[in-house]
Amino acid sequence: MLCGVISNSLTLVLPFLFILFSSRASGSGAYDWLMFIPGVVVMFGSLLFFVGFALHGLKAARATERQAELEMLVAAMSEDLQRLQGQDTTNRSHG
Amino acid sequence: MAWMPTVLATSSLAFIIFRLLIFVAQWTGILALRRSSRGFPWILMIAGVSIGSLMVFWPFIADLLSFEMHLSWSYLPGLISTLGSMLFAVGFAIHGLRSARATERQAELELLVAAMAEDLQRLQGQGTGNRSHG
Repeated sequence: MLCGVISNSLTLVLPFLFILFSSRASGSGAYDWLMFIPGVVVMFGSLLFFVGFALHGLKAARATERQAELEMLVAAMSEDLQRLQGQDTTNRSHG
Repeated sequence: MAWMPTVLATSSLAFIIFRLLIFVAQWTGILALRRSSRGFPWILMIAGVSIGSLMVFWPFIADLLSFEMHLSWSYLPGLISTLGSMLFAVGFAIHGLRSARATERQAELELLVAAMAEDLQRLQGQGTGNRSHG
Protein backbone atom coordinates (compact mmCIF):
# COMPACT_ATOMS: atom_id res chain seq x y z
CA MET A 1 0.00 0.00 0.00
CA LEU A 2 2.82 2.36 0.95
CA CYS A 3 4.72 1.57 -2.28
CA GLY A 4 1.58 2.33 -4.27
CA VAL A 5 1.02 5.66 -2.55
CA ILE A 6 4.67 6.60 -3.04
CA SER A 7 4.65 5.78 -6.75
CA ASN A 8 1.34 7.61 -7.15
CA SER A 9 2.85 10.66 -5.47
CA LEU A 10 5.81 10.33 -7.79
CA THR A 11 3.50 10.90 -10.73
CA LEU A 12 2.83 14.41 -9.44
CA VAL A 13 6.50 15.16 -10.14
CA LEU A 14 6.70 13.23 -13.40
CA PRO A 15 5.12 15.86 -15.69
CA PHE A 16 7.79 18.37 -14.70
CA LEU A 17 10.54 15.84 -15.33
CA PHE A 18 8.91 15.06 -18.63
CA ILE A 19 8.80 18.70 -19.67
CA LEU A 20 12.43 19.09 -18.69
CA PHE A 21 13.38 16.02 -20.66
CA SER A 22 11.37 16.78 -23.76
CA SER A 23 12.62 20.36 -23.96
CA ARG A 24 16.15 19.01 -24.03
CA ALA A 25 15.34 16.49 -26.73
CA SER A 26 12.98 18.72 -28.67
CA GLY A 27 12.50 18.16 -32.35
CA SER A 28 14.06 14.74 -32.55
CA GLY A 29 10.85 12.83 -31.80
CA ALA A 30 12.91 9.91 -30.58
CA TYR A 31 11.43 10.17 -27.11
CA ASP A 32 7.78 9.96 -28.12
CA TRP A 33 7.41 6.58 -26.45
CA LEU A 34 8.22 8.25 -23.12
CA MET A 35 4.62 9.49 -23.22
CA PHE A 36 3.60 6.06 -21.89
CA ILE A 37 5.71 6.21 -18.77
CA PRO A 38 3.47 8.39 -16.53
CA GLY A 39 0.47 6.22 -17.38
CA VAL A 40 2.37 3.02 -16.64
CA VAL A 41 3.65 4.40 -13.34
CA VAL A 42 0.13 5.48 -12.34
CA MET A 43 -1.29 2.05 -13.20
CA PHE A 44 1.46 0.20 -11.41
CA GLY A 45 1.10 2.45 -8.38
CA SER A 46 -2.65 1.94 -8.16
CA LEU A 47 -2.19 -1.80 -8.62
CA LEU A 48 0.28 -1.92 -5.71
CA PHE A 49 -2.00 0.27 -3.59
CA PHE A 50 -5.09 -1.80 -4.21
CA VAL A 51 -3.33 -5.12 -3.65
CA GLY A 52 -2.24 -3.74 -0.29
CA PHE A 53 -5.78 -2.46 0.27
CA ALA A 54 -7.27 -5.90 -0.40
CA LEU A 55 -4.82 -7.56 2.00
CA HIS A 56 -5.58 -4.91 4.62
CA GLY A 57 -9.30 -5.48 4.14
CA LEU A 58 -8.96 -9.21 4.72
CA LYS A 59 -6.78 -8.64 7.77
CA ALA A 60 -9.19 -6.03 9.16
CA ALA A 61 -12.09 -8.47 8.77
CA ARG A 62 -10.20 -11.00 10.90
CA ALA A 63 -9.29 -8.31 13.44
CA THR A 64 -12.95 -7.30 13.76
CA GLU A 65 -13.94 -10.89 14.45
CA ARG A 66 -11.20 -11.19 17.04
CA GLN A 67 -12.35 -7.97 18.70
CA ALA A 68 -15.95 -9.21 18.91
CA GLU A 69 -14.64 -12.43 20.49
CA LEU A 70 -12.57 -10.45 22.98
CA GLU A 71 -15.54 -8.26 23.93
CA MET A 72 -17.61 -11.37 24.60
CA LEU A 73 -14.79 -12.95 26.56
CA VAL A 74 -14.41 -9.84 28.71
CA ALA A 75 -18.14 -9.72 29.40
CA ALA A 76 -18.23 -13.42 30.35
CA MET A 77 -15.13 -13.13 32.50
CA SER A 78 -16.37 -10.09 34.38
CA GLU A 79 -19.59 -11.95 35.16
CA ASP A 80 -17.57 -14.93 36.40
CA LEU A 81 -15.38 -12.65 38.49
CA GLN A 82 -18.39 -11.00 40.10
CA ARG A 83 -19.90 -14.38 40.90
CA LEU A 84 -16.66 -15.67 42.41
CA GLN A 85 -16.13 -12.52 44.42
CA GLY A 86 -19.69 -12.82 45.71
CA GLN A 87 -19.02 -16.43 46.77
CA ASP A 88 -15.81 -15.35 48.38
CA THR A 89 -17.50 -12.72 50.56
CA THR A 90 -20.31 -15.10 51.55
CA ASN A 91 -17.72 -17.76 52.40
CA ARG A 92 -15.89 -15.26 54.54
CA SER A 93 -19.02 -14.07 56.31
CA HIS A 94 -20.06 -17.67 56.98
CA GLY A 95 -16.57 -18.52 58.19
CA MET B 1 8.06 3.31 -37.05
CA ALA B 2 6.91 -0.21 -37.78
CA TRP B 3 7.05 -1.44 -34.21
CA MET B 4 4.68 1.20 -32.92
CA PRO B 5 1.38 -0.71 -33.56
CA THR B 6 2.76 -3.80 -31.82
CA VAL B 7 3.83 -1.72 -28.85
CA LEU B 8 0.40 -0.06 -28.76
CA ALA B 9 -1.43 -3.41 -28.90
CA THR B 10 0.76 -4.89 -26.19
CA SER B 11 0.40 -1.84 -23.99
CA SER B 12 -3.38 -1.77 -24.36
CA LEU B 13 -3.51 -5.48 -23.45
CA ALA B 14 -1.29 -4.76 -20.45
CA PHE B 15 -3.56 -1.81 -19.65
CA ILE B 16 -6.64 -4.05 -19.64
CA ILE B 17 -4.91 -6.69 -17.48
CA PHE B 18 -3.76 -4.02 -15.03
CA ARG B 19 -7.25 -2.53 -14.88
CA LEU B 20 -8.75 -5.97 -14.22
CA LEU B 21 -6.27 -6.72 -11.44
CA ILE B 22 -6.94 -3.32 -9.86
CA PHE B 23 -10.69 -3.89 -10.18
CA VAL B 24 -10.48 -7.28 -8.43
CA ALA B 25 -8.23 -5.92 -5.68
CA GLN B 26 -10.48 -2.90 -5.11
CA TRP B 27 -13.62 -4.93 -4.74
CA THR B 28 -11.95 -7.59 -2.58
CA GLY B 29 -10.73 -4.91 -0.20
CA ILE B 30 -14.04 -3.04 -0.11
CA LEU B 31 -16.13 -6.15 0.48
CA ALA B 32 -13.74 -7.41 3.16
CA LEU B 33 -13.95 -4.05 4.91
CA ARG B 34 -17.75 -3.95 4.96
CA ARG B 35 -18.00 -5.21 8.52
CA SER B 36 -14.96 -3.58 10.09
CA SER B 37 -15.47 -0.15 8.53
CA ARG B 38 -19.19 0.25 8.13
CA GLY B 39 -20.88 3.63 8.07
CA PHE B 40 -19.76 6.87 6.54
CA PRO B 41 -16.16 6.04 5.48
CA TRP B 42 -17.24 2.78 3.91
CA ILE B 43 -19.99 4.49 1.94
CA LEU B 44 -17.51 7.09 0.70
CA MET B 45 -15.02 4.39 -0.29
CA ILE B 46 -17.60 2.28 -2.08
CA ALA B 47 -18.92 5.35 -3.92
CA GLY B 48 -15.40 6.18 -5.06
CA VAL B 49 -14.66 2.63 -6.17
CA SER B 50 -18.00 2.36 -7.99
CA ILE B 51 -17.39 5.59 -9.88
CA GLY B 52 -13.88 4.38 -10.74
CA SER B 53 -15.20 1.01 -11.96
CA LEU B 54 -17.96 2.65 -14.01
CA MET B 55 -15.54 5.07 -15.63
CA VAL B 56 -13.46 2.12 -16.87
CA PHE B 57 -16.37 1.29 -19.13
CA TRP B 58 -16.87 4.90 -20.21
CA PRO B 59 -15.17 4.51 -23.65
CA PHE B 60 -17.39 1.52 -24.43
CA ILE B 61 -20.53 3.29 -23.22
CA ALA B 62 -19.70 6.38 -25.25
CA ASP B 63 -19.02 4.19 -28.26
CA LEU B 64 -22.25 2.25 -27.80
CA LEU B 65 -24.35 5.37 -27.53
CA SER B 66 -22.32 6.91 -30.35
CA PHE B 67 -22.00 9.79 -28.01
CA GLU B 68 -20.27 12.69 -29.67
CA MET B 69 -18.82 14.85 -27.01
CA HIS B 70 -18.30 18.50 -27.56
CA LEU B 71 -14.66 19.39 -27.21
CA SER B 72 -15.30 21.69 -24.26
CA TRP B 73 -16.85 18.75 -22.33
CA SER B 74 -14.11 16.25 -23.15
CA TYR B 75 -12.51 16.69 -19.74
CA LEU B 76 -15.68 15.45 -18.02
CA PRO B 77 -14.75 11.70 -17.75
CA GLY B 78 -11.39 12.61 -16.27
CA LEU B 79 -13.09 14.97 -13.84
CA ILE B 80 -15.57 12.29 -12.73
CA SER B 81 -12.77 9.72 -12.24
CA THR B 82 -10.80 12.24 -10.20
CA LEU B 83 -13.89 12.96 -8.11
CA GLY B 84 -14.29 9.19 -7.54
CA SER B 85 -10.66 8.86 -6.43
CA MET B 86 -11.13 11.85 -4.15
CA LEU B 87 -14.20 10.29 -2.51
CA PHE B 88 -12.28 7.05 -2.05
CA ALA B 89 -9.26 8.87 -0.60
CA VAL B 90 -11.42 10.80 1.91
CA GLY B 91 -13.18 7.60 2.98
CA PHE B 92 -9.86 5.81 3.25
CA ALA B 93 -8.37 8.58 5.40
CA ILE B 94 -11.32 8.48 7.83
CA HIS B 95 -11.15 4.69 7.91
CA GLY B 96 -7.41 4.88 8.65
CA LEU B 97 -7.98 7.20 11.61
CA ARG B 98 -10.74 4.98 12.97
CA SER B 99 -8.79 1.77 12.52
CA ALA B 100 -5.88 3.25 14.48
CA ARG B 101 -8.28 3.71 17.39
CA ALA B 102 -9.69 0.20 16.89
CA THR B 103 -6.17 -1.28 17.06
CA GLU B 104 -5.55 0.54 20.36
CA ARG B 105 -8.84 -0.73 21.70
CA GLN B 106 -7.92 -4.28 20.72
CA ALA B 107 -4.56 -4.05 22.50
CA GLU B 108 -6.40 -2.78 25.59
CA LEU B 109 -8.88 -5.65 25.41
CA GLU B 110 -6.07 -8.22 25.13
CA LEU B 111 -4.45 -6.78 28.26
CA LEU B 112 -7.79 -6.72 30.07
CA VAL B 113 -8.49 -10.35 29.21
CA ALA B 114 -5.03 -11.41 30.40
CA ALA B 115 -5.47 -9.50 33.71
CA MET B 116 -8.97 -10.89 34.23
CA ALA B 117 -7.81 -14.46 33.57
CA GLU B 118 -5.15 -14.04 36.21
CA ASP B 119 -7.70 -12.63 38.68
CA LEU B 120 -10.10 -15.47 37.99
CA GLN B 121 -7.41 -18.08 38.58
CA ARG B 122 -6.43 -16.41 41.84
CA LEU B 123 -10.04 -16.22 43.02
CA GLN B 124 -10.76 -19.80 42.04
CA GLY B 125 -7.63 -20.88 43.91
CA GLN B 126 -8.84 -18.94 46.98
CA GLY B 127 -12.30 -20.47 46.62
CA THR B 128 -11.00 -24.02 46.66
CA GLY B 129 -8.57 -23.07 49.45
CA ASN B 130 -11.46 -21.68 51.53
CA ARG B 131 -13.51 -24.75 50.87
CA SER B 132 -10.73 -27.11 51.85
CA HIS B 133 -10.08 -25.08 54.98
CA GLY B 134 -13.76 -25.03 55.84
